[in-house]
Amino acid sequence: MNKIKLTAVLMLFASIAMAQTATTESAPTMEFHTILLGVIGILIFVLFLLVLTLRRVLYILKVESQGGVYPIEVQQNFWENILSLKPLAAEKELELDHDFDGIKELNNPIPFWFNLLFYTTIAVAFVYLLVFHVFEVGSLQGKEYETEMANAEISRQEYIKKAGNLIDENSVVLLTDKNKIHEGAEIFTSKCVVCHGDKGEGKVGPNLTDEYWLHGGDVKSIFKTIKYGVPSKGMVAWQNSMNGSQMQELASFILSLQGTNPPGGKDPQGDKVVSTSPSTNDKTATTVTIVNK
Amino acid sequence: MQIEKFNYDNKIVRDFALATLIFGVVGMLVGLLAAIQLYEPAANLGNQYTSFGRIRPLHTNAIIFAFVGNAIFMGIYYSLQRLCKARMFSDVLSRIHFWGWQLIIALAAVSLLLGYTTGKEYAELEWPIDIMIALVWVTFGINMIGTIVKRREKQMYVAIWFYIATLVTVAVLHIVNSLELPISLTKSYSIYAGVQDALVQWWYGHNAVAFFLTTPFLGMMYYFLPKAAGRPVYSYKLSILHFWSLIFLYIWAGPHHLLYSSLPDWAQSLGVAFSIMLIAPSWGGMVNGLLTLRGAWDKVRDEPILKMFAVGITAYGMATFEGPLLSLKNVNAIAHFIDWIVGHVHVGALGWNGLLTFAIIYWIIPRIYNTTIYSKKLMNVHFWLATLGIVFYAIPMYWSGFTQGLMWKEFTPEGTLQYPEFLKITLKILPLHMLRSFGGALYLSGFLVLIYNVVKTIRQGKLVANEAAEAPAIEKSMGHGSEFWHAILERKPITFTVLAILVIVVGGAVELIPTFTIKSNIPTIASVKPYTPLELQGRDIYQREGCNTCHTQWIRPFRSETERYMGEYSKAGEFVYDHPFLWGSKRTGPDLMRIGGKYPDSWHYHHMIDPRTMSPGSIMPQYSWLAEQDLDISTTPKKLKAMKTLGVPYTEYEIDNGNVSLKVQADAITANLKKEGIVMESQKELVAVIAYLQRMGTDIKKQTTASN
Repeated sequence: MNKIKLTAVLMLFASIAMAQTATTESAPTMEFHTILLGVIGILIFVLFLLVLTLRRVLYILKVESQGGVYPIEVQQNFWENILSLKPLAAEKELELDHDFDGIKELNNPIPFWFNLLFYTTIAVAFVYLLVFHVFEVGSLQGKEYETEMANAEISRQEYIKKAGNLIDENSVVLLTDKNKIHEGAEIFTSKCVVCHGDKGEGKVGPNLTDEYWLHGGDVKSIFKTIKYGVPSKGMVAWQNSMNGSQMQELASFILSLQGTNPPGGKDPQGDKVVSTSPSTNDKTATTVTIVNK
Repeated sequence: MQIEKFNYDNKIVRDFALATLIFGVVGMLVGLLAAIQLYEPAANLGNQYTSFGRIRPLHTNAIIFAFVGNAIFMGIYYSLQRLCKARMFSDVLSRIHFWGWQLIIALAAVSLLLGYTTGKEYAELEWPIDIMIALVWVTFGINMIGTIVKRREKQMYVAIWFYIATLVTVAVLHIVNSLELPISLTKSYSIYAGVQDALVQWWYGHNAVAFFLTTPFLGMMYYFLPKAAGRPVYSYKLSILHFWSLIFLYIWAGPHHLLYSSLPDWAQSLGVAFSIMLIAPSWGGMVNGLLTLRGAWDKVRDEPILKMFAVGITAYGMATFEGPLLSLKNVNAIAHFIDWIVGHVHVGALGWNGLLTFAIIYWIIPRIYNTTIYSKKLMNVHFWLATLGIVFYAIPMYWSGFTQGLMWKEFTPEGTLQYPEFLKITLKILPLHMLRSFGGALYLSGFLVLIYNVVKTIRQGKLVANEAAEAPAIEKSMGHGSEFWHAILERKPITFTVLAILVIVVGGAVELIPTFTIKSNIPTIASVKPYTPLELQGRDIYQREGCNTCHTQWIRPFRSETERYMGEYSKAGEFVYDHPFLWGSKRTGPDLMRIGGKYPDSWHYHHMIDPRTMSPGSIMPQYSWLAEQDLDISTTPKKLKAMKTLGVPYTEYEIDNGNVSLKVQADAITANLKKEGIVMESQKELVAVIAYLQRMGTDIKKQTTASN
């Protein structure tokens, strides 16, 4: 009878295990919040089982401490089977006939729930290894990474399509709003001062306050330089750590530095770009003259 | 039957107990200092010897090997004599063991503060100390097996099984993981490189937890708990099942420390599978312990020793459920490198090792001093301080861990990182770190209460150095055929020991041997070249300063990491010249795998002199002394030669001219710095560190360029 029960529960657990490995497989596509929720769910479930068991144990202890004998009914019920607790009064019969420095050992059976747990985890472990390394249905880390990157790109494209008016190098315009420029200044302080100096005077990177530009001095060109970087010269591509409006604010702030002439400015590099009306918002009104230096 | 009279050696027990008290205070104080440094960098006391990278290993070593180690020896020397009904095999070996171990601890403390470290976690000590550890451990082993062999008790009790497993496994782990090639008395290189070194290290590291922090304590629980509760052990059958399954399965689980690394997938999966199977064997100890208290719950209420046992065993149960949970790959993806792990190990260390140690001290001291405890009330005070300390430690760590783990991974809908600045996330969790150090301080204050109580108890009693005992001599012939197989094994200590070795060797062999012998496990990358002499010297300084205690060199194959660190995830072939590997296990600061070429040399200069000039609010300690200290270049040829012995393809010419090319590269860096207005002499240590940082993780990019 016990064996049948054990097999039934084992099969149940094995199917849970299957489901679990299936979750593992699709994990990278899921939001990690969902994973965390799942884990918390499992934890709460285990905790719930523990509390149930504990309640039963406390009940038994209460009965016993009042001099009662447990189990109260002669017939063993579900809980007795699971906990495999023998009545305290029967302890003498279970005592093994040796002692170690006064320590006695009881010959209690290994609790049913313990065996259940043990054999279930073994089953789960085997299923896990089979799924990933024999049947190869689960995807291992390299594949997982590819899927994650591909899915991210898909959802990014979808977002861009939906959002419509995202700012990119084609749609970017110069901002003059004080608050926006201030936002740009904040970004500049956190990301750019390392190489361009805290006033844009140039350090490892070029001076951003003069009229000379290596990769174009209009807002679109600057936006592009920020976005894609110039990897060969050490300029970082920021497209993955800033969004379009942030890059727009930053580019606008950089152009607001024109002519500030901070102390210790680095010598000009690149081509002179004269912008007739650098503060205008209208792209057509910005006439750019390039003078070869 | 002849009754024999003999004495138990209580003096050695007392000595180990006092050492436990002293090193407990030291270890916890250093831990508290380290915890404070994580929100107050000035707490490094303004010098290199007490900087985080050096005192973090000091803290872990002091707690594991000095505090817990001495506690284990105290508990084993007390219980083993009584369980064997025999005095320790040799008093001389006992003394050698005691003083040898304390000498190792003293040398460890000095050498770690001086920066002599192998860079491998919980195995940081350099080779001369490693040899001493092996010798002292063998002394302990002979003494222990000798005592068991000359016992007056037919069977070996379950506690002794666990002691034997501890003895043999720690020896195997220590020797295999400590194989290194010496350069000088204070410097050596691990004979393993990269992925292989990582696998050996975490096979060791994981099982140091298993066989130094778990099995000896399970053994002690099986002696002291039934003694203190006056109750029989719940189930002999369960003891047998969980003992053998625990020692067999534990060994396999090491790779769960390397999930989502460049360790081969099959090894990672074995780590996951065996961790799952570990839940029940670990819980077997908890179940047997808690059910031994069955029928004694009324005593638990007013006996602080039993309260400590009950909470300690519960903490063990929590930690050993959490462990397998953390080993699931999707949980590990969030949990690795964050404060959750720190919380997890401290539930184990403070709860299980700490509380059990306290309970055992409270049990032993009055008995060997033939008195009663000075104050039961203070024991209760200690119990509550310790328990509250654990709560105040663990909860902030879990909270900060979740915050950190989620913020690292969050993306905006546009596909950019929500929190691209690592520092911003760090700053957010600082209040929780403050709360954690408060929890630690509470726990330490409880320990001080114990010391006061113990000193008072010792004062009012008198040490019974040799406790008289008597027992019948062991009977030689015991052959009755129908005996339970395990009972027979319990009478044969040597067979038992050999069997235990076989059981623990299997898992290690199956995982280590293929990783070392099958080439496809570590795919090489043609563009990855050995370090230049200057970079090698810089790497050794990186290791000396313990940079790897806070910075990983291990970008996992996640979008959130390849985007944040702007480069490919780490590949096995990138580490083939890394003796030792320096992947790290905790990301207090950002990963450095792709730091090379990301910032100009001048940035690194300023950042090392004072990190806060480049990253306002940074909690990294300053390393200005690196710009003042001269690099020791006399070691360069020796180091290159040693690397060549280990298989790094340096030519004879490169070795002979090591210092010439070192000088050329150093001059180039200082010239570069000069352009930015920074004047530094090229023989300074900082130049080597910059050279190493600028090289790190860049070789793989050349491959991409070449193939384009």
